[in-house]
Amino acid sequence: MRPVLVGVLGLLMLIVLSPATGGAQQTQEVERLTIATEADKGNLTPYSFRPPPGLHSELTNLIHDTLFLDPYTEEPIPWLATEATPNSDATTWTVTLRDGVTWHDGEEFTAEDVAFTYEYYKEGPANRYSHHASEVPVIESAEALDASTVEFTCEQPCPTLDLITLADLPILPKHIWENVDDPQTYTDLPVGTGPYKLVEYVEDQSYRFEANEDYFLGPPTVQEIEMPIVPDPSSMFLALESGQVDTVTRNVPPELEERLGETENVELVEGNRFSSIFYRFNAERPPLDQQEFRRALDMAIDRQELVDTVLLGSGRVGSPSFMHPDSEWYRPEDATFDPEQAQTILDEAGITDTDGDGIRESDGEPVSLSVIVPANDPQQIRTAELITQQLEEIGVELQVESLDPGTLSQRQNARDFELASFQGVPHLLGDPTQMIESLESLLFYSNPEYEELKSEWFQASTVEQQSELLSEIQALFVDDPPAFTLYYPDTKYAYNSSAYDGWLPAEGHGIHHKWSLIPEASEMMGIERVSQSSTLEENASGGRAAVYALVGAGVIALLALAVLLWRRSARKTDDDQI
Amino acid sequence: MSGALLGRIGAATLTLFVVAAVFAPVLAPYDPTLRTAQPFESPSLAHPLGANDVGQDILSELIFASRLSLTVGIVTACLATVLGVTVGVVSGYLRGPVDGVLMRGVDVILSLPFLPLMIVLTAFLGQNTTNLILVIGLLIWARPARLLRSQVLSVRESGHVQAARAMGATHGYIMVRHILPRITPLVAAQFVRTANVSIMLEASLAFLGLSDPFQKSWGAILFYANARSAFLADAWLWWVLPPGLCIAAVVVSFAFLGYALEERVDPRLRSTRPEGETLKDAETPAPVGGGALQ
Amino acid sequence: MAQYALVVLVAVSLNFAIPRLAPGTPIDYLVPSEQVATITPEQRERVLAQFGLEKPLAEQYWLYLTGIFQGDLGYSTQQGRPVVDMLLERLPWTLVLVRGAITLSLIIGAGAGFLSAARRGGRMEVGGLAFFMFLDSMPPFWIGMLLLVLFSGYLNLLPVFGALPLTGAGGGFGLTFEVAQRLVLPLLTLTLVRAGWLFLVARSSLAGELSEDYIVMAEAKGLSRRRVVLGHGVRNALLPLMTAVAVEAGTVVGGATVVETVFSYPGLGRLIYESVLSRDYPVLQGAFLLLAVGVIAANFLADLLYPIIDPRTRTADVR
Repeated sequence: MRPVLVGVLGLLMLIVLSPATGGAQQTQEVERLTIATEADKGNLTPYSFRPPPGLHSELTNLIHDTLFLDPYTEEPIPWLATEATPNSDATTWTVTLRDGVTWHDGEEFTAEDVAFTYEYYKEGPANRYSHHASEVPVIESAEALDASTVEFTCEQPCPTLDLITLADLPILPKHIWENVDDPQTYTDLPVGTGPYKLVEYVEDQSYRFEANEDYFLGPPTVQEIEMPIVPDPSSMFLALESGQVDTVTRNVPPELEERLGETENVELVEGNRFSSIFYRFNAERPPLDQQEFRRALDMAIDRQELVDTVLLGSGRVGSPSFMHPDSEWYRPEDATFDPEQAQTILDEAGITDTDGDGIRESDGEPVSLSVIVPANDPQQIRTAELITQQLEEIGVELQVESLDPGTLSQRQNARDFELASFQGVPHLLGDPTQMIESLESLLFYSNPEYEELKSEWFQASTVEQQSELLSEIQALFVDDPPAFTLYYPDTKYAYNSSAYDGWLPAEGHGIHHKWSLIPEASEMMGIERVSQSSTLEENASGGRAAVYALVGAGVIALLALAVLLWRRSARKTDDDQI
Repeated sequence: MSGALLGRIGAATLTLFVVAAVFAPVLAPYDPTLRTAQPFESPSLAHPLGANDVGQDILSELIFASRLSLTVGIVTACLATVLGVTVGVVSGYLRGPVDGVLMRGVDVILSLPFLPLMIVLTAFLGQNTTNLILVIGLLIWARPARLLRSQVLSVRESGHVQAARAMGATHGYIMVRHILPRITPLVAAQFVRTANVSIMLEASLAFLGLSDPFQKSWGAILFYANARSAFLADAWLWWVLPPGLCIAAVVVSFAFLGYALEERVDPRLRSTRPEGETLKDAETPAPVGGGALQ
Repeated sequence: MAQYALVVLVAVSLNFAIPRLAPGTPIDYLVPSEQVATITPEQRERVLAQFGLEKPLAEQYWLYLTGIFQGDLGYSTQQGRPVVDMLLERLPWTLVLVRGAITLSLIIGAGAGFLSAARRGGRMEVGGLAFFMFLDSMPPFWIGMLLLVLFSGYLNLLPVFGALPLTGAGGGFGLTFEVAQRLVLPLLTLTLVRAGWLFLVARSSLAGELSEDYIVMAEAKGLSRRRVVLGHGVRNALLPLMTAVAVEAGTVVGGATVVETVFSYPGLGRLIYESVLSRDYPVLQGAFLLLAVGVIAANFLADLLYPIIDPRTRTADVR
């Protein structure tokens, strides 16, 4: 047995890998970048949506372009369009397009493509983008007036058309998609106008992008992007540490910040991606149907403790305003933490502990709620664990059901829950049109004041008016929240600065998107690229030495045990022979 | 004999874990559900194995977790053994069409993909320990049943069973009074094996995040450790190694015990080879580790 | 034979039913949760219709059954691709991994097991037995993670993910080397896990053979111990060993799931796991079918071949 083992070990040692990539390269012209991403998102058409985790729109937009730069910018920044002019009440928009833009297959990009795309989203099966054309706002028609002019008509005023709608919807090539009846089973590699072409997609394994040399803003900075799909977080960061990949799309978890910061060449940057964890509640289920009860729950949650314990301090406490604090549409409001006040409210509402078991009763039933959380997200599970303890303080019992993602979405979609832990995505936390829509569809929010403000919102014809109304809506949330936003985690990203340091932390998105790779984007967006900051290279060898020592001790102990067993058995056999 | 030594080691280790499980509240330095340290605290005198991601004492977690693992192992093994023995004895003793139906049923169960089935069933029934035990128990009885049946096939041909039948004893009487006692050692060995498989299955499911996350179990400790990057930090030494070693230690002790049991009955088992029965049934130990996760 | 056909039919039907038992439908996974609530029933119907999932269950079942005979397993709801193509793409990786692991663990585990049985009472026996039983007792995901941390983390010797190099290492030797490198860790993990079990099987089979009367006879006739063990014992003990491997082959494929997840290896086990999470019924049906048919076929072959190879099991009640 021994020689065999030695042989195997020897063979393994022989297989020595040359370190994958690396070496200092010019920042602006990079031949190849390797970016590990955490999830397969299909063939990256607007229809190949998969639920989080993982980047979807950032990846599809490497290939596709939108008419305006991005929905989360302060002002509309023209991209495929050069300008957009509304009529007086902002119901009709005339949009002029860039000339000389071509699709990856060489066909010319025209107004026909734009008009087609909006019709297709409206008429085709629902996808992540379609509600922008069919719900908020309702686009009545998109018509190509000539080769470079499109006229959009909305059912109601749509002042945010250029700022949000046109900035969010990727444009599809008419000459390809007009033949696609069934976008969900469309498996060809997509054709876009974007800075990158998807040249290879191996399901569940990797993507490979090549630079579009004919891009209308000039060739992007990186010639080739390789994107291995690495679902396991440990493997992913291991790959970054060992130089096998240049950056990873997963946020750096707080517990790894220190270690990664100490790794040679690896830098961390705050990416400002919009993210939150919030609890939806089902206001149809008593006692959650009572506003006072919900308010008491909200007050009993110690958000700072959640941030300190679960995020190790790397995050901000949740706000009743629901939207992300870095979004242009956010109204600064603080959540109240006051368990005593919460107790008073419950007492006054007649929800008291009548049988002295520490749990309050409502209508004779003990107040016992359940919250459903995704079983694959330990942070959310831990959060629920802490909240259970916090609610116990005010005499409310909370039971946590952790469910596999499939069951979780089914329960949520069927409204079969009391509280549900939910991860807020950029689309939800930075886009007011999605927010207005979600208030009803996702959060089942309704109160008379809100209904009034909402109909005003739909009639408002300027961005300022809408912004003002949204602010008033958010003010309502202080007393009657549509959901309990618990915290906004920081979103730090790690990258190998010797491979590329042109990353652009774009509000809402993080750093992994096309603007990080387009030279002109920095100026257009008014965002600085990460500059190579000097960091203290801490020597971690002390810790490592201790590890080796402990491992050594363990191995010796095991060997000793083996020898003991061997000798014991040897003695036994000797005895037997006598 | 080697088996006796291993058996003793196994018994001793198991006793240790049982003691730990029973006296967990006394032995554990802290309540493992309370946050008694800083999150991710390194080992110290106060917390010999450090603290987990929310500041719970890992040593206390380990001690309390032995309760769940042992309970799951033993209760599931009871369930699976009762099912397996019933089917095995009835099938092997009655033979004929009953045997055919039961054994093809066993074939179906053995052909089912275990892990996806468990995921589906736990999703269907809800993730809690009772359901976990039920699901595992209902899926792993097939192998012992098949094995016991082949043993019963040979026992039923033995002299005193034939004699009892000749004297007009009922089937039930013969099965309980004559067959069962003869296969008891094999049943014991199968019990130990199913206990092993269920402990490993519980750990694997917990590791995938598919068990009750609030039950302290070794698999669940590993789930959090993996999800919170313990493998990358030096924390794997005190957060990853110990629960893994605990699982391995309990499973191997059960295996040692089982081996000792089997060795004791081995000579008789080996010399009998029932008619038309294949060796694979009588003599193949079921895999524990890797096999657990079909 | 008819019985086996029935087993296959029942298994196939269960494979159809099991995925549908779980709460949730593929649609819950095809549309973002923040929008599911706004989908109209018509849109919902339309999405489902693309995969034939709007039809009554009985009709779906009938289409599934008839599809099997035409080699058509439908389209994946996640990928939109034919399930058959997806399975064929994954199968080779799993086969490479599983075959490699079985071969290696046979060499290591069964080799040591035979040695242990041939030299019962030898010095190594208890130690070897304890060692291999310990191997058999370690959780596979745990071994996998530890190996990953050791070889890729601390020693930085091996790539941590995938099966293929990212940029073509050309073809020929370079590619083979790259693929082999990525195979080392998952293969080692599965091998370690399997070796313990095969050790036990090999050991008990050979020990059983060696206690048979004919062995005693052979030795009494004056044959050397070596010839008796190798020529008679091992030869006969190989049969149950091979049967065991055949019977457990399906288990090994399934057991590879966690290992494949840890190493981001594109095998069948991982496909199944992902499909369970996304409720991709067609892929699940197809993959289950493949596994079930494989296992049943292996069982059937074993039952069929055994009496042919080992005449003793054919004769009615020897004693």
